[in-house]
Amino acid sequence: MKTTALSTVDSSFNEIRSRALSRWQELWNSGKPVILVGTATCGRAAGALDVLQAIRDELDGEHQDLSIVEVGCMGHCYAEPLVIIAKPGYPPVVYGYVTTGMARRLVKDYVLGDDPCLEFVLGALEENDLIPPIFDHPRFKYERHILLKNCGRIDPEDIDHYIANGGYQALVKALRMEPGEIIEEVKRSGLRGRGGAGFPTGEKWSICRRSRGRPKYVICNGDEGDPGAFMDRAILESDPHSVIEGMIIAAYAIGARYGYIYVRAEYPLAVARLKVALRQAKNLVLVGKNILGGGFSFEIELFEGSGAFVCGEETALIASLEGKPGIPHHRPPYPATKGLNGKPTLINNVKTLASIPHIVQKGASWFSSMGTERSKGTTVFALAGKVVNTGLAEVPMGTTLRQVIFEIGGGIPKGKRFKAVQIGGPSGGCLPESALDLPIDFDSLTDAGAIMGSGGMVVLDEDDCMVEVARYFLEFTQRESCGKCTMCRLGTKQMLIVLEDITRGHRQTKDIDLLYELAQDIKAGSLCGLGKTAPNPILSTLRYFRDEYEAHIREGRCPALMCKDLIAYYILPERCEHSCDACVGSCTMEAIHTGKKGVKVIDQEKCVKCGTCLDACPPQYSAVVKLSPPSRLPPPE
Amino acid sequence: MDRIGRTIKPKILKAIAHPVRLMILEELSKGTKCVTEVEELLGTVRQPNISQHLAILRQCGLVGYRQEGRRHCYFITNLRMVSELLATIGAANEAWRATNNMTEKAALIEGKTRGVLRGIHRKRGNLVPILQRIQASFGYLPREAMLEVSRFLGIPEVDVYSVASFYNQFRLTPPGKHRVRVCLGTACHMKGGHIILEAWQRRLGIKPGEVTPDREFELDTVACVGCCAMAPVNVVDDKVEGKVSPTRVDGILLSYRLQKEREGKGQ
Repeated sequence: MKTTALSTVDSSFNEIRSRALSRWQELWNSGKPVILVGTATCGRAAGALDVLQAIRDELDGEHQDLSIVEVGCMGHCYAEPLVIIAKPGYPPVVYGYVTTGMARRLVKDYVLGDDPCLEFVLGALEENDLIPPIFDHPRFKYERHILLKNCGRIDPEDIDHYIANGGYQALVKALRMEPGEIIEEVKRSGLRGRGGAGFPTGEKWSICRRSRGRPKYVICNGDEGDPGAFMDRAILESDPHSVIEGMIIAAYAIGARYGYIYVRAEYPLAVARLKVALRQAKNLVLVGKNILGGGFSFEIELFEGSGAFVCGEETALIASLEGKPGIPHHRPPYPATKGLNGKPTLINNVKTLASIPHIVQKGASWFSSMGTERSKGTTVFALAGKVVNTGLAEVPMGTTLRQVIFEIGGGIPKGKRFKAVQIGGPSGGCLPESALDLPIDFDSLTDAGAIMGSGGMVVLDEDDCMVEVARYFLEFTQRESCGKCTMCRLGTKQMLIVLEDITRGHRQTKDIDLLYELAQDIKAGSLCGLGKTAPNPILSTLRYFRDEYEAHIREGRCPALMCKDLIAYYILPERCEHSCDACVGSCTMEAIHTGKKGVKVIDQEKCVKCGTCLDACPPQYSAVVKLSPPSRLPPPE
Repeated sequence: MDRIGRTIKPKILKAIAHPVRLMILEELSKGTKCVTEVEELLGTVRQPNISQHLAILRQCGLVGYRQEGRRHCYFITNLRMVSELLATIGAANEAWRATNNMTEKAALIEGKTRGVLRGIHRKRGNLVPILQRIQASFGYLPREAMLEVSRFLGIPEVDVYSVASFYNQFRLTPPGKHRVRVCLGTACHMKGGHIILEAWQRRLGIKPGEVTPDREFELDTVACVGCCAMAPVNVVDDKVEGKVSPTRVDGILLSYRLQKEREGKGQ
């Protein structure tokens, strides 16, 4: 880029940055308390909007000049709704599990008074003498926030917050570099695609740069379809500009003119916040024609997906952008040489693009200092399922599964025993306890029979039936198969039928061999990743939990007491506290009545096995139990 | 009388064989107009396109042209002939619609669809966004609207239908008043999402994808709404409900019933 153009870029960005900084300073140094409320989708599901309203109501009339900022998700989804209050003279304090009542008290006692309500505190965000900092929590020993750095700290709908925290500086730096230098830097960083397959990002960029054809496109793949994964949603909702900045740098590096952000329609909040972010970036000429006056132009458009899992596959995604059904086609040609409208197209995952500004800003060696030999940097996991601290965790590659699940995730709730962890969604697999000390990277997980995938991690405990888990994933892939390849369309259906029968106890041992055979055929006969990986959940559960399959088949027994056709609920007469009616009231089917001597009895005819009575029975009695096979039920009196 | 086919000029038949040109003739028969005025009256059609059509109409002599200052004005040369022509075509069209059961409702949908399509660039890549907009305005994709889209984009009807039926988000039947979506993501499933789904099925008496007979509720499943930490999750209308239990299902239904009773009293 010419020197004159560069000085225009510098001067226009300095102006933007100084204005952003002064607005940021004004917010924090005004001498008034600042209240941050996490209103990403996870917070909203826990009632963050009610909390926000309660705070506004409580402040109504006086102190209208206080700043209430809606921020994104900090990753502590288990403790949502989260509220951070920063008051002059105190460190910023994080409050978790906030209810509307608590919010009112916090406003009355802390914001307007001076009692920080220590009983609600999760931790302080700074070192201080008064409140233990949140960083003392064991999870922070392992976590390293890079992609999640801004999440939950800044207002995603205010570009100045992002700029004041170092945003778009990497873009300015990149515009000073030659495109080739940027690609070289990304290559040296060792960044691999965070969408699942782990293809080296720099390699993809240089192929795309070399490819002929104009215009070139950059697509951000935000079609996070894996059930159980929500990192991309959290990043798009909490820090959309980091993705946009990464896209612009990628476009500059490969020489692209147009870009699309492809987001699932199931993420309405992410769509709304991206729209705001794009508008603001356009207003400051960070996106659009002649970016920052430096002569480079790049337009970004938002495209909402329409609910098809297979559209996460890159060729299917492109078909969908072209207005066709999302059906994958054969690769090669790869999109990097022939993609959208037949032109070279770079497709990167949300997290890959969000890593780019950090790599450009801090350098490749900084990035490659984290992680293992062949997988560099950090990775974000979405922890869900039977784990105490559900939410997001960003750790360097090479952290072990045990550290993520037990140290960061806080282990299994209710004192249950860990059974398996499902990684990588429907294409991934279930890993047992013996694999827990595995350092996580792309290659080690593949060797163990799972995949890195997009980073969804669902923890399963002793109450989860592995056959049922496999059946669940197969049901999913079978439904989402686009129907192009016969083996994927019909083979998965056959496998599903076999598995459904096993969970009902209807099958014979030779079905296990049939499953193996079908799995091989489906892998060989499918074109895209969806079909090729569809048998993974079954293969991995068969590899590590074959005994559970056999218990279902031979004894009609579900060892985890989960498969509904193989269990019955029963109230142990000797444990039932006669005067307690907890289960009777809870049963939505009115299937529980009081029998002889006041002992409660379940009417098996009416029971739908929903398990509400089990939850309702006071823990000191624990009289409701599940029996498998149902033939173990004592005859009714 | 001579046979019509022998005396009529083919050029005239060709000139009127386009909906836009018919609309132009209709507007011009009300009085002389310049190109920009015609553009405003027609709405969706752009000026260069209108000029093309006007040129064809001029060539066969149906429309005349004169310049008034900077205005390029067009007028009907033979007003009697054109009015007769339009009246005949209008009557024929009515007869056609009547025999094809083209009801008022269908015409309404067509009109509304045209409104949605206004200002959208006619390229195939816009098909999915167009269908999304239509669904947002109707709640589903009516047949007439899809036909209109195929005409608008100039692609076969089957292409529109294949896209509409491929993606889970699109629906081809009208929705219920309240939409219940049960998340069946991995975490939700493991924490009993299917039990919640069964509870809804029992209470509403319908299967996923169906609407209750009174059209109050519709039940659906969703692959994952990304709130796995709050599992099991339901989305009722647009509100995300976390950690749902079968008793909560009853609670949600009760709150809607109470709300309806309140509304009934209010009226």
